[in-house]
Amino acid sequence: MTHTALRAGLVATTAAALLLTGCSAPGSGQQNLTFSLYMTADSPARAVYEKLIADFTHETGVAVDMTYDTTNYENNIKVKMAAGNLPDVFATHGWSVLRYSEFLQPLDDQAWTSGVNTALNTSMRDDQGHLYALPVEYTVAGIAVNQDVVEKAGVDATAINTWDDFNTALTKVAATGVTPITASGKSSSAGNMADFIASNAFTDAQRQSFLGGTFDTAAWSERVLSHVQDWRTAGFFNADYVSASLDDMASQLAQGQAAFALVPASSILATTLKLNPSANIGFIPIPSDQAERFLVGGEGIHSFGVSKSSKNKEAALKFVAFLAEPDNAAAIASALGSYSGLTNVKVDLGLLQSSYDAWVTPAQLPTKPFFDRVYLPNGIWSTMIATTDSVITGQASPDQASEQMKLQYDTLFRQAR
Amino acid sequence: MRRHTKILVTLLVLTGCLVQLVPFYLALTTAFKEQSDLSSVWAFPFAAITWDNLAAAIAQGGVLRATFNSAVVTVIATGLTCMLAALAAYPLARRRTRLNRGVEFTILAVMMVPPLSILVPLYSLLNGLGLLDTYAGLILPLVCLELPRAIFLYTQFLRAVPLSLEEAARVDGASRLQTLRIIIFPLLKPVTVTVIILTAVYVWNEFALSSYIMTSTEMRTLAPSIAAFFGANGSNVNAAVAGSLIGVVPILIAYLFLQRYFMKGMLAGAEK
Amino acid sequence: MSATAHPHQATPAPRPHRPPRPAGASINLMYVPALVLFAVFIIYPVLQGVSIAMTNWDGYSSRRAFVGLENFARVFSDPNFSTAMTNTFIYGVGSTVIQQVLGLLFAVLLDQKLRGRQIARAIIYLPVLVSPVVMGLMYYLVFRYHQGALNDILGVFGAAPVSWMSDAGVAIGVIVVVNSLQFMGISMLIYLSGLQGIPQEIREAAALDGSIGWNQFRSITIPQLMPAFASSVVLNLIGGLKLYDVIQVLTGGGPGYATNSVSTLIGRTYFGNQAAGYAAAQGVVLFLVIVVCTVALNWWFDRTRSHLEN
Repeated sequence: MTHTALRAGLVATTAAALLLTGCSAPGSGQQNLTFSLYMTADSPARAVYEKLIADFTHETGVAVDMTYDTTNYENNIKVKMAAGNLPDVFATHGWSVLRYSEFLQPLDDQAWTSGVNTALNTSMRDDQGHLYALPVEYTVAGIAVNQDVVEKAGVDATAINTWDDFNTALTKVAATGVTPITASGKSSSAGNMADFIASNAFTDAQRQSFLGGTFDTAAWSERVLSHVQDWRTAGFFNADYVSASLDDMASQLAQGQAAFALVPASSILATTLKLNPSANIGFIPIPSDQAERFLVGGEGIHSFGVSKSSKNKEAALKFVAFLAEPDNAAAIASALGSYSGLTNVKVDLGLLQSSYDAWVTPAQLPTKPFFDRVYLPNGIWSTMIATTDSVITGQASPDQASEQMKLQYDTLFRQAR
Repeated sequence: MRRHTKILVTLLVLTGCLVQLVPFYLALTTAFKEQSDLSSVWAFPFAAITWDNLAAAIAQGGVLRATFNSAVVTVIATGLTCMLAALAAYPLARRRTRLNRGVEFTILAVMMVPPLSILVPLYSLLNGLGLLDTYAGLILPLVCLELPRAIFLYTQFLRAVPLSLEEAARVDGASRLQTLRIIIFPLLKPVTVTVIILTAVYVWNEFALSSYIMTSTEMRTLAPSIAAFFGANGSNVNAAVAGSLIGVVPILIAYLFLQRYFMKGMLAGAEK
Repeated sequence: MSATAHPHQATPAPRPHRPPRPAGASINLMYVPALVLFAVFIIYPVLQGVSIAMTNWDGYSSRRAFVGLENFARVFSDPNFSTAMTNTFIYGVGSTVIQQVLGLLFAVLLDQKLRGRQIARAIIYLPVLVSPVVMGLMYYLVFRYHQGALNDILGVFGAAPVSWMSDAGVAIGVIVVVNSLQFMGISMLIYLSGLQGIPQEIREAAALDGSIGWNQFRSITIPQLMPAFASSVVLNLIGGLKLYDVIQVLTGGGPGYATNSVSTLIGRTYFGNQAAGYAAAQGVVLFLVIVVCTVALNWWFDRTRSHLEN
């Protein structure tokens, strides 16, 4: 009889439910180290981490539970912070000071800190000079470019000094029928764009004003968003901007359908390599209105802090120190294709090696911190993306978008006090 | 049916089926293509079929383990939902007092709570109870989110069951519990199948809460394990699609099995 | 098994008479387990959410100050919220209407004696089985700009590719259609069970007195389907008003804030803007709006039903 079967099923499931609830009482004894990071399931770095963890366990007898998460990572960590349930070691993805320092163990007494690139001081040390994370990855970036495309358009990308030079280059590229700038509405690329421009757009007085609680709407509109507006009116953006993802940007750049992208080249590297391993991709310094070229940089996604409330702090610090060992840190950075934040680490940067050699290694160009992380309140990032996006899509004028920025800025500023 | 009506009906049905199948076809072509294959999404890669995406979904995405987790959560959550909903619906259908109307309304209101707005308090609660990253910790909230609809369906169904059936049994000397067991619950079979299908599908595919509650890689359910192929620095759409297709198979089999049973139950009623 | 005891349908037409003497209050014990679960896992977190709504909490830190009803005031002056609320109604009402039309259409069609109708039913229902995230992902393959299925077809006719999601109006339409196609299978099943519950005698009687075709449909089938209609509308509307995943996958709420529903806006406000208090207030307002809509709808159904019965 079928209903007998149903009833039997119900009884069985109840029993199972009770059993599972009983079993799920918090386990005791075993104290595995918990380790969370931002990584996709098929990231080449995953195998490296797994191997390093095995080595660490072999060396110290401490087992490590690694969890990786992607687009949800940041939200997940916020939820865990709210519940006082942070992992022992976790990726601080650029926010070790501004967002997480309240919850992190200062790491100044660790031996490896002497190797941290001093260029990271502005962005990774707080007012008192405390360091809260190990920068296995140092994001240092300029404007990503497909060198073949710009050459074909008769542009010498290495000679672009001012935004006017850049605009001339864009016009030449457009004339060849290729999209001058690729950006994507479904990633944070609009925010990157504003960040890149803003990082060297303001006078000292204006910067102090942003820092001190007054959002200068006129300056933001004129010095940052007006550039975006110009590109939009000239039709320089990719037609599929709204529905494009970061992968679409990478694909357009890799296939020579677009010339420039205002995002860190390292962020589109993986997809580019999959589609066209021989693509002539690199990056150039960012121009400015006053002809002072610069790079932007700061703590990368793969930077690791230790939770202040960790019950496993000793082992956690040991694990971070283990990841900081030059060979280990180099293995991770190489798998990521990223520059390392440790000066004693040598990394093979593959496709981007020549760009790093040309612009970063000589250390001649100023490296500005990502503007929002230093001068704007924590939490403005998503508004920065949305407002810049609204200029790119023509939903708002630069002035209207700046007003939106100011609204959110004011709210966050009040909230922080 | 006249002939031209029949042709029209057939045409409409075929169009509907085609529209519903196209996205699955596109998913198939994508799942069997290399990521670097830039041919039209319509073209099935007969010449260059690849199993890499399925392999990546299984090896890197852990989709099989996730399927097992989803199966455990789905079976238990669905069982509990049916049981608790059938119980709760009976008094709501049979005893229309002011109190019970209030209870019914509260239950409907639970259905309208936006899940995101309870995420953080719920997470803290589960953390306090030691239920994070456990099957029970995911099952209990999901049962709560699915119960209102189930209760709603059972209540609607029970109201249609003539009271005379029960009264006859009572006259024959059956106790209320016996009446429930012998007369009422067996009658609920068709609606139970509906509830099972709706609940199981929702739980099987749940993403928002699962991705917060099941934090470790081993406990991850299907939807979050597929989402792990989407990242800020590049996504693997092909592997994600391949993983999604693997995830559809078990629920599809379950549905086809239940559908037969469902239609049979309904037809048996209709023919009388 | 006694087949005579089988009820004819999920929600049959004649409303049962009120029980002459109500069952004892003790049977109310049967819903206590469900209520206990609700109290712990839903109502308690909801109340906490309401208390968060009166603070300026950022969602994770220990800084949290009481701000009274400030967040609620902000909800009503925020243009992004009013856009999201409008969209939420479009998503809710739009998908409900399309799902009723298509659901009823395919229920009627597949109620006919056709070869392979079981397979056709399963195919129409198939998208219900995949998660909205996957459905969105599959339709992303259809609507994307480069290598999109639709643009590939346009290309065959020599037309330029279209950026479908750039126009907020089109994007909203696409979201409504995708959501409707995904869940019309549920409406179809509900209507099918309603149709099959209409006793054969009634249909035959109608056929004898000559009211076949559209007339039969209007005078016999539709009134008989009212209860099925009520269940289907309530379920679809609540689902549509809470729409989240498909929007997230197809547009992420963009361009700008133009395609956000209140649910996706809450996510952005909570995590993106780090305004947990304000997000909680948005959640409370959304909840109240859905409650009011559902109550109004139920009231209307009750009235229509009693009209039909008299």
